[in-house]
Amino acid sequence: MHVLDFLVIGSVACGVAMLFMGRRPKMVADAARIVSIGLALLSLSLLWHAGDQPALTWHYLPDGEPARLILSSLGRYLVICAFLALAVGQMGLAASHHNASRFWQPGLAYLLCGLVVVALTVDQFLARYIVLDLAALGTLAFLALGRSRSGKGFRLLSRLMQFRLGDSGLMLMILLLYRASGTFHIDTMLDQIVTLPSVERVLVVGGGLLAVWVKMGLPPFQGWLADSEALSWPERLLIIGLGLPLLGGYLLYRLGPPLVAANGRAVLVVLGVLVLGWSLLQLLWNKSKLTWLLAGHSAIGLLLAGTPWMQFFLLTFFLRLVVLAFWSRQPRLAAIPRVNRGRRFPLPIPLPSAPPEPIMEPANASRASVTDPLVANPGGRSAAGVDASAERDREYSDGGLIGTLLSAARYVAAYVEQGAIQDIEGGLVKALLSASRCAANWVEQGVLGKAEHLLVDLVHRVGRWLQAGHTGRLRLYLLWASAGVVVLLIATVAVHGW
Amino acid sequence: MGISWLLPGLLGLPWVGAAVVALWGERPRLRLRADHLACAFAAVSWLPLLLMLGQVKGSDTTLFRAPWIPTVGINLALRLDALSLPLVVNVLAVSLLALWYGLGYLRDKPRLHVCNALLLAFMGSMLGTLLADDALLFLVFWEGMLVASSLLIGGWGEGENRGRITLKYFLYTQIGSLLLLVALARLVGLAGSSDLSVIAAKASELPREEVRWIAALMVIGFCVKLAVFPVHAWLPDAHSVAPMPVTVMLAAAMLSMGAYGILRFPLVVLHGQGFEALQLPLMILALVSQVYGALMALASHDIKRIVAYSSVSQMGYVVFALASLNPQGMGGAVFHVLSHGILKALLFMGVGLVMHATGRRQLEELGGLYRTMPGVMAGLSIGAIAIAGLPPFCGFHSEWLIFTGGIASRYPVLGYIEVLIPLLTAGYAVWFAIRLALGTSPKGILPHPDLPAMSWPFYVLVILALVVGIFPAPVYAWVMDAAALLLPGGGL
Repeated sequence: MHVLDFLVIGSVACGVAMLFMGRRPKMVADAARIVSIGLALLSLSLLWHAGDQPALTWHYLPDGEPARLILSSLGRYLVICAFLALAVGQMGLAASHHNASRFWQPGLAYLLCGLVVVALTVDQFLARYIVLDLAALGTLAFLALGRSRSGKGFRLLSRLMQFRLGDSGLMLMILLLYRASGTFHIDTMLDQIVTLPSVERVLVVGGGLLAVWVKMGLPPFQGWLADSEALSWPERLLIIGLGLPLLGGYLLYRLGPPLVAANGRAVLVVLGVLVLGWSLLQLLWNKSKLTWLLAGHSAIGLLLAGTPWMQFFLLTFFLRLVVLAFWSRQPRLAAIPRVNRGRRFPLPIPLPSAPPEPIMEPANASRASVTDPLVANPGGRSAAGVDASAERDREYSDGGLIGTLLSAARYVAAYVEQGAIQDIEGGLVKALLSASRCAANWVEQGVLGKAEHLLVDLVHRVGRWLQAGHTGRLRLYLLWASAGVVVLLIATVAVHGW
Repeated sequence: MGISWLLPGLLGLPWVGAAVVALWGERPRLRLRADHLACAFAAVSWLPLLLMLGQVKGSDTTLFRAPWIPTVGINLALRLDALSLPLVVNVLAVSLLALWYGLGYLRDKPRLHVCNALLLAFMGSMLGTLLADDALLFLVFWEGMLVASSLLIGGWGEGENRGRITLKYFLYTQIGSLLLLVALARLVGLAGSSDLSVIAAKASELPREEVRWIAALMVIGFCVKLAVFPVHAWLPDAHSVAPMPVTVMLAAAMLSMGAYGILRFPLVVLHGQGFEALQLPLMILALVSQVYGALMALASHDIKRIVAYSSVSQMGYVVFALASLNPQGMGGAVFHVLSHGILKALLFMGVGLVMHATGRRQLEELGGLYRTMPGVMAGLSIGAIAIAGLPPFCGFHSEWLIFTGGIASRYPVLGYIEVLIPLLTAGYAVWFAIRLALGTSPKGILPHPDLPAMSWPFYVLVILALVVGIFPAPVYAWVMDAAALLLPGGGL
């Protein structure tokens, strides 16, 4: 069994076991600390194992090539860095928490570590995407279950959408490269970048950079790094030192050479300089020093991407660990970084305190009470006494993109679903009713009534005519005609027989 | 003949069950309640399918023919192939879990035996729709679905407006059915037979212009059932008023009948003739539907309505995948129908548990439920994450295939846009879960304990979402078999 197998399986198994043992926090914390030190020591043995045969191999998709864990010469240092972060983080967690409400932390940290190691070593892009997504979910779980802060739900959603945006970029990149190469093997896929048509190359490069941008927390996606400042230092160390920035940096390292080959060097340098300058400026006046320090550090990675120096940049992630471990001031629960408040990014649509009145007719009032709470509860105050409008105001004041999206959704709801569509439906019902009335007036009373009148009149006329005939000359004519018919019948029977 | 006699067994068991349950009466007999009996029938209906499962691989097909109206040459023709198999499994699983869930949710409802009989009839109608190999038989079961579901919504729905909403549901879907009727009648007239195998064999000889119109009418008719924007208005009302087991069956099983219809008729029976012209409009309509459904879900405050609107968005994914007209897209559509079945049933059941426990359904009146209902909140969060297409859940794989199909289609730009849609899905789904689980609990919430009959099927679905996500290979094999039927040279 390869050491890497042992490390991956060990960290995942420990994580799952600790989550199940959660109600014994003291035991879990002690075990987590000891095991993490053991794994960190074991990870040091990887220094002698780079370039070995692949470790774990598994078939994920039918008829697809297997995903394998392969340890590169640089990857081993990053894996060691991850396990060191885990060990330091677990020691911090064990020192600061022995309470049951945070039972999930050690287990989640182990799972995160296992995912990071897989993401660093797996040679299949789809598998790497999946693991990166899971690592993002783990980071969100830390942010969600960490220290509470007002408006956390909304902020979490915002972070999730940022992560999803990065994932969309990465997904687009993988899809296009997969179509070009027909394989998920990372090296083969990345080699295809230079052969792509220019539009697709831009999409691939843009998608990849977007993924890197979000994962490394570069502006304007540094929000999740800033959120982590409210966490305790071990939690912060685990999600920043062990998690996404490390993976983002490694992704940039892998993307660098093909980006440079695709004439993207100048773009990287310009972006790197811009981000570095902006981060330095923010460091001077923004209170979130750590966030901007990390962003500035990541910007150096952009400058070095595609050069041999990038390897040395990745090794500076050890330095990050040290900074994160010593940046152990108390979390500022009330402080929300200015850049995240959305003050400088006002919503494009002026928000009403209550949703707009729906366009409705009195006849529709009853259906609206069941079908739409916007109408049923126009003041926004619920039966439970929760001031919904205050809640809404808080939501809107909290973020640019999400607030805009929510307001757009509510406007669509008010004007399309409650407005246009119900108008159309109401119009159709009215048209149907009008048509039925028209039918009643025109057909029933008009056409059919007249026809009935005519028929009755005709019957009367015929009756009168017959009556007149019965009493007059007509009777004689009819009698003679009848006699003629009788004679004709007798003659026919006589000639042809019955 | 082989084991084809099992096909009428598979179709007949729910109908026999419906008759028995209806006659069983409201009171328990032999210590057995009507709803338990209905559940047993839904479970037993799996047996014929399990026995046939090995027979339906790749292009293998199980057929059954028996005379039905011999004077006009109409047979009781049934077919189980790679296309119908995944959807039959979906219908059987969703129906069983919905009936199981109904043991708790419906237990205090009046005329329980009639309600359960109608649920079985609804299930039987869906199975009939999937198995029918004759146009007339298909229409009979198609209308049967509508009748059974309308009776269930009208009879056991929640809220004062259920009558009006039932009528709306009936009229909307009936319009779609009428379009379908016209299209099928013309098709049968042209082909000279109502047998789908015969029609498929003659499809290439039919006049192209007429086939194009027939395909367009069919697609519009099926889109009404799929609740694609702008013919979606029946869905949120019907789903929010129907009792939860019916909502589960409507959302997780019946919506997919529209997708099956498009796959079976314009694509398999007509070999895609006339469908190419509809590709671009359908892809655009699907994108609009996805965005619109997501925005409406974000704007809604009623938790049941939020999940209902997400169906409009999710069916947009299915239509987009179908319209991409390549094996990945087709496979993605079938996979997404299965994923949607699992996840929508999971989300609706979770919402039902919240409504049962708190007696509330407005988002502002709920919050902080992870303290009082941790299991349900965990399950709902998993459902929300999964429907947003995040791994390791089943939604990821179907979306992957859909994206692959979209980018490989004739309009890759629309495929690029499609890749961004999960952002919106994540927005409404996770926002919904966060609002329920986190935050402060409003005053007055004293959750009732969960009923095991309601919570067990919910947790089964959570596990299923995870298992299909982690071990997707068998489902990939299924859906790729289905997609192979749609390739040139495949088909009936």
